[in-house]
Amino acid sequence: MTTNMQRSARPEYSDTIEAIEECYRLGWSDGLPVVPPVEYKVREMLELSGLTGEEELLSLDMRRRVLTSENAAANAVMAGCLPEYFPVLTATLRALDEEKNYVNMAASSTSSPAILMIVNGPIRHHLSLNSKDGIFGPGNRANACLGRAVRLCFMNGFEARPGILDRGTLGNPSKFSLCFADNEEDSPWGPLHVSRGFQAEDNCVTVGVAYNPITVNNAYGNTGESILASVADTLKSACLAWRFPAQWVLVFGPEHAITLAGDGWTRRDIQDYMIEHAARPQSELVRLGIAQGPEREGDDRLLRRCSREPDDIIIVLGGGTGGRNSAIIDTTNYQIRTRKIEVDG
Amino acid sequence: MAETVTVRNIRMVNPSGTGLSSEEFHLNERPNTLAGKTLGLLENSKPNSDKVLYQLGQILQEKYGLKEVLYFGKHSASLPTKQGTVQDMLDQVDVLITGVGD
Repeated sequence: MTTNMQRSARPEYSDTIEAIEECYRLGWSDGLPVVPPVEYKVREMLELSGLTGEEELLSLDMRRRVLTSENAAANAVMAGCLPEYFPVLTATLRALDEEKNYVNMAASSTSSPAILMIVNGPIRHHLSLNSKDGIFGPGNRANACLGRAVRLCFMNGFEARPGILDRGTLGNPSKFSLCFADNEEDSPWGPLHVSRGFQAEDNCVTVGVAYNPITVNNAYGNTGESILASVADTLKSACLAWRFPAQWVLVFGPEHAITLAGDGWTRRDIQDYMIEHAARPQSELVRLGIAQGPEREGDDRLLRRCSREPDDIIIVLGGGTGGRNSAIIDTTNYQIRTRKIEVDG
Repeated sequence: MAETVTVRNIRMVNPSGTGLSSEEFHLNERPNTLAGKTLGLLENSKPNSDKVLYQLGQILQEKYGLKEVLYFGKHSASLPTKQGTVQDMLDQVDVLITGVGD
């Protein structure tokens, strides 16, 4: 038996492979191999967006550093992004820059949050972003590389590396990437960005600081209310209720969405249901050690609800048509932002 | 293009962030002794951090003969200290210890 390697001629020594290894040696990696950020690729990234390389996109005061468009483009190349992805990354970085809490928390928190990106608008199709089967990955270039690029910007741009600036206790697989598209076309509730005041033809990215999606597998509930009951029950579990009140992203799978829509559940109905049912008395939270004690008189009647306002619950449609799964994404109590993606930079 | 790194025939753009400004920092000289000095401790506003820091301050005061320990607070654990607080610390302390606790 002859192996493929024996059959082939001895390969040339590869400068590109050595450049990848050099990136590892320089600490420019999230652990996976990176595309070497060669000048012409960085320039292509900037030119398609009409950027000079000098624009300041995101600053981190405590590191006294700013991420320029050139820095961001280098990280985008390393992540595997195509130039046409870059406007989504720059919009995300600018959204993060508007909310400094995001930047500090996403860079360094012991709770190890990722950066969530939900893309809406026609650009989803232009970039072939995935909103269907395997929405949270792996398997799609735009989803994987865009999310990876924003984390590389933090790691390389601000030294937000584990044990240095990033003090995350456990880390978080979503830090590799947590980027996906809203399945607007099939959604009974319409596009997310339209529900947040944008036009359907706008391209938008909704950005938050977030943790791993938690799957709710409701396979046997044949009513919308049963689906919502299982989501609310998960939402008020100890791993999520400690954050009450907060903001949440609910990603409903298509099969659940069909059942919910068939029973007439609107976006607002679902939001109201969650606020009513994803609630626990303060006394329970104290006993679970997820709220600071001591327990006080009346804590058993003091209901802590998942969110203050209906709009704190973000609803999108995502995932494949096989299986009755939906997901909850904890997005902390910081304000989720939706920002228009300017395709000309 | 800004700073580059070349390996064999490949020149790569450095992806590190850029310095925010040319403003320079000058660190004060470290005192030779803490005896008789005023120590500032900056509390990061996480639950119970004030209690932990107070106890640490008491231990430090006794151990090193500090004149006084002053406590300052941040308004948010995840945001930089407010400028007014920074100025108060500059005005009132000889030595400051800051850090994060969680």
